[in-house]
Amino acid sequence: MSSGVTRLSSVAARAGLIAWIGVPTLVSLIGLLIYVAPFHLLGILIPMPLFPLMAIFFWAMARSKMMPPIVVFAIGLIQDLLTGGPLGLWSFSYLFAYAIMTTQSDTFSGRGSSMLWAGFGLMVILTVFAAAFAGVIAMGWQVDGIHLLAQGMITFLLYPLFGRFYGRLQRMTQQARRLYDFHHGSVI
Amino acid sequence: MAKRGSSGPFDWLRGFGTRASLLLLLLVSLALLVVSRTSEGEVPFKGLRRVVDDIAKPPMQLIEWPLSGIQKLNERIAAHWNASQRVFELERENRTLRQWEALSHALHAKILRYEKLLDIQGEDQIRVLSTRVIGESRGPFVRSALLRVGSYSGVAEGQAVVDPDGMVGRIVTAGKYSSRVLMLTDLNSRVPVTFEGNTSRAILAGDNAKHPKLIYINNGFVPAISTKVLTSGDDGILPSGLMIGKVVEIDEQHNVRVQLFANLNSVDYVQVLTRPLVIPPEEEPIESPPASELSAHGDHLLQGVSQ
Repeated sequence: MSSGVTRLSSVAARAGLIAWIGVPTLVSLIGLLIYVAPFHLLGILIPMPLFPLMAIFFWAMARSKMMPPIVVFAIGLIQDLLTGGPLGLWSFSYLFAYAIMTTQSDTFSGRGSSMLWAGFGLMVILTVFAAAFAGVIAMGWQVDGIHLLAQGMITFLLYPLFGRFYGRLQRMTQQARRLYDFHHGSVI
Repeated sequence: MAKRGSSGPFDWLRGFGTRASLLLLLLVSLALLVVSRTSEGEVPFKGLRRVVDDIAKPPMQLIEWPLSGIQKLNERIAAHWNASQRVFELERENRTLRQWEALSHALHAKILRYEKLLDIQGEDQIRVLSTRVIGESRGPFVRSALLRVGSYSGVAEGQAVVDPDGMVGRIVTAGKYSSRVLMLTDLNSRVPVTFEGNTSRAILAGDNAKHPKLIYINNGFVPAISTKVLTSGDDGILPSGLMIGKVVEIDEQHNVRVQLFANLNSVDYVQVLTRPLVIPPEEEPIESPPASELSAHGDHLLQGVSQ
């Protein structure tokens, strides 16, 4: 009976570990699906916020191990495929911003939410710059710069809302991770 | 046993793998971008795009469902806001449309009679396939939409996509269960067009701007403002006579821009016009007739010569 309970708790702990690893990727992918969902407001073209960028930044700052470069690359590549755009455009843009921001994580993380928001502002600027550069490489000088800037601005303004939500998710997954560690320790 | 966080002789190697993979992935991304640039006119990685579109279709439908609910609610509120004014406008529009309906019936009958008299060949029957847009890209780089019908429903690359107001774009990739429409405003969109009341030809080229431009206008023709632009059907894929838009801008260098009739900012339901592709004779597979038929034909020719 007790071995059955232990096995069940082990399965739950493993599921917790998978959740801990998979949540950032899953959140980014859901953000990506919302990004490409058709949403119109009174027939006006509203630039969609870059939801995956918010998730990439949050976990790159909170725990970069949960958002490794290969995941960032994959998210960008899927975004390129789902939008029908040139392959490599968003993967390059996200990776470029990620590469710089992960070296600056000490400056921005753990110093309050406004500092983190400022960090996200830098991340947005880097991404917009890299996307414009990549757009010029792939398509020539015909990038809709105003749309890109508007998209960056909306993404920046919405970050506090999503950042808080990701924070809650992170705390939940952290508990799942603790459960795994505790279980792992107790078995040993 | 040394702890993971402790310093050691190989400490400098910590994070090396991450940095190396980051650099490698950045280079891969750049290489992909260069490939996209060099394959102009062709959609690179078409097979991969088809597969991803097909895989993404079910979750995108799931995401699209609540969003369309919000949108419908939003439209309903907007409709109630000025309901009496809208009813008045719709009644007026209805009266005008009834007159046009009567006229179109008469003209349709006339055209059918003329076609019969002239014995026009090669006019295909177009099948209309109505569907909903489940994904959209209206970002700074691409203008495309994902439809929830694919090759299993008869959708093929090149087919025209319209909404009740006019042409929206054409199919660029067709997966089994989904297909992607390249909007007329997209940078890579090129559609052969003609003008109402003139047989001159031109190409409608998207450049990610709101109003696509006309290039290669032949016969030195400069259309007037408000001239209607229609598909010419010269590519053998799109049907001729599809309404696209009207000329709204002509600058001093005779650069012409067209305002589309379809509002690409609020496309939800569209129709794919499916029809058999016209294969040029040089691309048709050569099927040699059976030998017996060939010899009979040869004998017949010889008989003609001898007579």
